[in-house]
Amino acid sequence: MGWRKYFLVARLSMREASAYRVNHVVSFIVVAAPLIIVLLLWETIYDQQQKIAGLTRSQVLTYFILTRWLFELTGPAVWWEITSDIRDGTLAAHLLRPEDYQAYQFASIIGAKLPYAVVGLIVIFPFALFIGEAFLIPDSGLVWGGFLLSIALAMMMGYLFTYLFSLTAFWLEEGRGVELLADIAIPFAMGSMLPLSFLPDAWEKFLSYLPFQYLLYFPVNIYLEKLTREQVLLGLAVQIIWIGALLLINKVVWDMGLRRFSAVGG
Amino acid sequence: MKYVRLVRLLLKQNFLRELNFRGNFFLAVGTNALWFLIAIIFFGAIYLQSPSIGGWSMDETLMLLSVSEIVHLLYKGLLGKGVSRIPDLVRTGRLDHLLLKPVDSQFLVSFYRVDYYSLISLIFPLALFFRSLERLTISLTVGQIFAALALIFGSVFILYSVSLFIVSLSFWLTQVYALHALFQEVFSLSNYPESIYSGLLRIAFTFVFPIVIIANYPASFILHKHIGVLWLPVLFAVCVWGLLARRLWFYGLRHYSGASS
Amino acid sequence: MNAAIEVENLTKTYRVPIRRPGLKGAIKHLFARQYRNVVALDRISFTVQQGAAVGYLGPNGAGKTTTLKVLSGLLHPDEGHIRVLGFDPWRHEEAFKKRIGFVMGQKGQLWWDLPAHDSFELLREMYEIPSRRFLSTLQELVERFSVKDLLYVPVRNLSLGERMKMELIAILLHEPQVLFLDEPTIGLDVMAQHEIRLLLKDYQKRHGATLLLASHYMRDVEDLCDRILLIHQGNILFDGSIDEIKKHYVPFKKVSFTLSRPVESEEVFSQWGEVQEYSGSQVTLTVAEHKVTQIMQLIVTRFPVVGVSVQDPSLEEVIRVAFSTFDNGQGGRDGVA
Repeated sequence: MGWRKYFLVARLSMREASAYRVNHVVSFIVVAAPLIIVLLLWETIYDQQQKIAGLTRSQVLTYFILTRWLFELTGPAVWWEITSDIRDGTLAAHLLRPEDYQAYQFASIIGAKLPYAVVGLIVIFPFALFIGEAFLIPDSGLVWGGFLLSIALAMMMGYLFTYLFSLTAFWLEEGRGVELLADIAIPFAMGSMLPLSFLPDAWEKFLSYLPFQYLLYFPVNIYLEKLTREQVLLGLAVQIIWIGALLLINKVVWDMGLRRFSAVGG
Repeated sequence: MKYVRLVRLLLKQNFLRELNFRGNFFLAVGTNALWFLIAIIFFGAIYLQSPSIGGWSMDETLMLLSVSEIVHLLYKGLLGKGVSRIPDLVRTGRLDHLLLKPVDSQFLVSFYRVDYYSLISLIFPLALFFRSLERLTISLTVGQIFAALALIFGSVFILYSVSLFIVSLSFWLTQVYALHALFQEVFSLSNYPESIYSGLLRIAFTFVFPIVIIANYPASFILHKHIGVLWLPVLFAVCVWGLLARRLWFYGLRHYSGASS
Repeated sequence: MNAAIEVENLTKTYRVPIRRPGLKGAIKHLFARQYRNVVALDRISFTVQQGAAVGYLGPNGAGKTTTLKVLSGLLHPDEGHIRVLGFDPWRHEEAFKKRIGFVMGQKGQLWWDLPAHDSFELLREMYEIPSRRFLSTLQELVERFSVKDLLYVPVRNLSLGERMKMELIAILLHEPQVLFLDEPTIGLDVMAQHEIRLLLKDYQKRHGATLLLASHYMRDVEDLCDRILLIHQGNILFDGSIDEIKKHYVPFKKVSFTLSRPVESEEVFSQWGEVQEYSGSQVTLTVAEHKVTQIMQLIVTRFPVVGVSVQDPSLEEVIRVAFSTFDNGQGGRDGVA
């Protein structure tokens, strides 16, 4: 029985997000301006060289267009709805209902992000045209399959991180520090600023041990066919392991937080 | 004279006000520092792989980055906090009080809040600025120093005018906050070397979104790089954007109806 | 005496965008907006003499705040001729702004985290009040308002009543000649309301200031004002003193008798007026004003009366009657949201 209500939540939140789709289009168009500038920068960098840090000009341009879109789907954030539920005590009302709060928020957040995915694709399209032939499109179904699967897993991971970051509201009166981390450091570690292969080897190696590159860098690398089949399979497995680990961590943190929540009196 | 005294008083009051939130200090300055650090890493990583970006060396780009950051922090510190409050003031009708004062409303609204954290954060780009100056062995005459300062403050003024212009749209639109944030994002890319722009886009990003002007012009001047007619576009942008922003602000006030009927 | 406020045919219409639901509506809205015109003020005219205190009454959305905002220069009027102290408010002349004050009950202007004194300093600079005068005015105000000890306490630590007093001082510091008051006592407890009213009255008397007060609290109006403007749906329904308005709309008094022993039927009384209350030994009648003396004599001679009292209808009742007669008479016009 249990699943239907979460589908309903997702649908509701999707509809709510769709109500603002004109805003999405407008804001995406304005986002477009920075993307043009980013593309111009990289065009210029590739003026003198064929290949930098193992990436061709086409690959880099495609990389930045794709990551701009994908980031909206998988990037973790401090979710205001959860933190305000915790801080103002509305969480108590959720606890009384026969629902799993994590599943509820999962449905709600994913529902809110899906319309963005569609609108984002439409807005990204002119950029693909702008760079013309340089925009790579893989022709192997296997690559597409791996790419889509890794996006789905990345969205799960992104959500679990969002949830984890938001749970810090149990302890922190004001979550600016966590937001700082989520807004600046993590996008960098995901590869949204630049492909991680541009970094010095030691840095790249260090970041590859962190889970964040699996939110963005890894799926896009599948798309760009930079990985061997074994590497893809291994990466997907790592994503699944991280999802399991995060589920566990979130459970522990949630239980601890809840104890504090009820001790404080909600 | 009255306005000079008012700025001084507002600087003082804002300082006293900030003393109430001492906890925010490290967070706010830390945020600015972290962004700046990531920008340095960004360019550092690129120059690790490529010796130049369209004729700009690493030290030159870092100089540009520091100038860009100085312009942004000066704007954010002195005017930006007041400007970004405008949509909120309009929505809640709290703009009323400021409009009733016998003081120019654009002036008052802009200077009403000072962001000291941004002003303090100026030490990071200033450090990079002087380091780059030394590494590039640039020497400036006194006249050039004043000219550079004029270009920098001209840039601050342009950045301010464009922001005020966008924010003034909140008299008509409700969602101006997102628009404002996004424009800030565009303008944060003013630390890219101007040589990446050519043709129509160069014209667009010089005159429509003047991001080429606001950091590249002062930086190029300091670096003795020649990028064409320098003073004319600056003067043009200062006049046009300053006028547009002021006109739209007062035109918007006509549409201002406060929060309630 | 000179007129402090002159308003002639003031009209203000708001354009309210109409939004249709759905994506289609939203896109349409983006490109071709449709508006509905809502008339907030419909050619109203009135004059206020210098030193007068005028209460501005009307239900929510009647146009009270709109009028105050137009008169203070915050809103641009669509039509009409307006002079406040001889100035056109919309021209925003500094000399004009220095001579008016606008008290907004819900919206404070003091810096929340700083002591009120710091905000006053800023106001001194903005209004260019000479130091000596600033000190003496402030001294006098804090003494009269008895908030001398609170001057250096951060505003956020003050009680609502104390804060309101400070907000008032902030507006009186430059000694405005015309004061616009929009719900000045909203949200305050009864004691604090009373205090604020006294202080305002006191200021008005000492400075001969002109007051235009919009409020929901009848007590505000009754205590402070000698004249009432009744506004409804953008029109002025009535303009006159409190007594006049009572006579005009509710020409009745409430007469109550206490009897030494109960009277069997209440019907005996209904020949003289409408019976409002009847409990055997306690009777209350509404009686036409000109008959009050006559009826009282009649009753006293016929019944064992122990006590008599005659009451005016409350202003609240009067206003209610006024608006309902208007609504019944004129039917539904486009209201103001």
